[in-house]
Amino acid sequence: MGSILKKYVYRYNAVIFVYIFLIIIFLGFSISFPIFRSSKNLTNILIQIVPLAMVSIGQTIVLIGGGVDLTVGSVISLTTVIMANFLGDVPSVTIIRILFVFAIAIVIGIINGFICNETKIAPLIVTLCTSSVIDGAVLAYRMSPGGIVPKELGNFINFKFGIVSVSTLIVVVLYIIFITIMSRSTFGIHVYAMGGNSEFAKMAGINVKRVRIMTYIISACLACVTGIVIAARMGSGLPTVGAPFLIDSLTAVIIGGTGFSGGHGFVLGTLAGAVMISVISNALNMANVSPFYQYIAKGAILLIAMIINSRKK
Amino acid sequence: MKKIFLYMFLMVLILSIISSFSLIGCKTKAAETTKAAETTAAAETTKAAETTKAAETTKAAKTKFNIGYQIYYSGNDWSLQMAEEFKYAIQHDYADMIDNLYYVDDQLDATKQLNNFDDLVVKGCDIIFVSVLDPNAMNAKVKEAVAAGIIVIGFAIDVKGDFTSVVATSDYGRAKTSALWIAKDAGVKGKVLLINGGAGTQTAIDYKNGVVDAFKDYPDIKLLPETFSQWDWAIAKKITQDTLTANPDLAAIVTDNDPRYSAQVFIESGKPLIPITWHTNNGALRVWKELKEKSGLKAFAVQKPVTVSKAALDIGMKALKGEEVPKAVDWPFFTLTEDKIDEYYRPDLPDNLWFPTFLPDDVIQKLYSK
Repeated sequence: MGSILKKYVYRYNAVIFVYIFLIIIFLGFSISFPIFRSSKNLTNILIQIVPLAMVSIGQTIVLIGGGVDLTVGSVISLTTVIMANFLGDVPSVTIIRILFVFAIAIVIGIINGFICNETKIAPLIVTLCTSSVIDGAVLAYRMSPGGIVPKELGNFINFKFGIVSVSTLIVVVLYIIFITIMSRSTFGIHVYAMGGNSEFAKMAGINVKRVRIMTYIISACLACVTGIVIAARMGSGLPTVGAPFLIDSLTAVIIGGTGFSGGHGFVLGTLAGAVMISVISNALNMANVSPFYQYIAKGAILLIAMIINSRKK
Repeated sequence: MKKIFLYMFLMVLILSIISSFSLIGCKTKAAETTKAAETTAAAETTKAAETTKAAETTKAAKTKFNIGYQIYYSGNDWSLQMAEEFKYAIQHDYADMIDNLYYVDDQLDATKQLNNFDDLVVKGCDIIFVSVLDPNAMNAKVKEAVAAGIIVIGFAIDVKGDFTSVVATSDYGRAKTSALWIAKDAGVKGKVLLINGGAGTQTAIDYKNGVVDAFKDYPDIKLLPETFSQWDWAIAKKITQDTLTANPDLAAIVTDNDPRYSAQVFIESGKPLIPITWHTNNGALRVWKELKEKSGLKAFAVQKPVTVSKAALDIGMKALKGEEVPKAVDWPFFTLTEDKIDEYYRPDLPDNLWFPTFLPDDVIQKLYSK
């Protein structure tokens, strides 16, 4: 029993440390600022965590596979705009809109993966270019905030059971699914193998091209789910709403113990990273820290988390 | 052993960061009633529409309030000065009404703006001032907040919705006035470049509509395809360079960006300056004055004033006192002609100070001498 526990602690030490760090932060703020631990604020935090936690799952999988996906923000913007505008202001077309955005996300994932496979261009450059194309297309389609997301979708996504909303439950389900996939399925093993060394993975009989395309499809689809949740929360489409999620998702993934080098990392760690970013933002507001000092404080805390994490690895 | 010390050190560092927040952050009590400096009485052109009975009886009974202000973008000196105008005015004019004062930064991010709004509600704000980035998204939140008895004042950006009041300057109006100056006063004929602000924003849409409508009656003017600078001077300069190369016969520029860098392109390429709509920050006024004298620059400034936050504050505080406030206030844009530059330009002050301002000299000196 002891040796199994040791094995787990050894294997997941980076993730465990991020969670310990998160608990310290959470307790620290809870003790210092009673308003931070109020049920109303905890509800807010649980809602604020959702988009970043969702989009970061896909980013984690792509990074573990040795790539990077800079299109996530653009896909989020695209999704909100389509969810609010496609086929006019008719609530009955919600399902068509959802299917349509998923279809587009899959195509974007295939394009990203295909170009990364068939050219020697770095994934960073490939996805930077595709994100630029998507951003342009979104702005050409809808230049300003607007459109209407059917109320029914908003009511469903934002429905709360106590302090937990449906969107939070969706995040939990997604994490369970992808933690299981990455730790227990053949696909997960293949992604780690590809990220570790794609040549060795090929020699071991793994269809690296297919696996890479799959990682980008998953990332784009999760960005798409994120976009749907944001659109439902905002009730409209905004062509630039996804932009901040690119950097935040990468930060969440890296805090969670996944590196840029590929072949290692954990989806569960990413959840802690996403929660940490959202909690710090909220807590600094609750602490009434000046917005300018917030940048310093946030940067310092995240840097400390990353330094510790890098040493644990 | 070394590792253990490192981790212990980092832990102590985190805990000290958190505890320092509790010391510096907890309460921003309304402080000094600073010595009065003359505040220019705001010429409130309240193009009043309907008026709303703001502030419930519960609010009227209170004398001190929790006040929240959402800075929409701290990466922009215009937005920052707007916040400074608010900060000064509230401490100077309404210090006795402040219980707690909270500032948050929306970072030009509609999702963050919603989160910040929620945070201010949780903190028990009686009134929230917000420059709305996505009106549809914010409207549901505002409706809930107003229903819960919170006063919500939209400002700077013109929006419709359930706000207690919206105090804004018309982007359409200032764009139309700028374009009409190009067409009528400057007598321009030929190609005109429009350098708009942020793609995807309502401000940019309204600005373009204003320009297009103004030029409708001037068939001799050909408006080139709209460009977006994202309110970034480097992009605006590049746009001007590219457009001038492709259209050497460019006749005028209407810009919602810092015009100095567009003018710089003409100077660098040795071409004569063309009429350009101008801005009223100190640096722009300095360059305008210089270029007018050296190169005969023809310009006209139509400015969305940073003082709109002070106007919003006055309306909000009236609402807190239980007085009736107009549902919509049109805070007029500021225009400046070349003969009036010297009335505003201050060679002793830095470039990024915007005019008009309600900030007294000592506050300006303090702010910009940092």
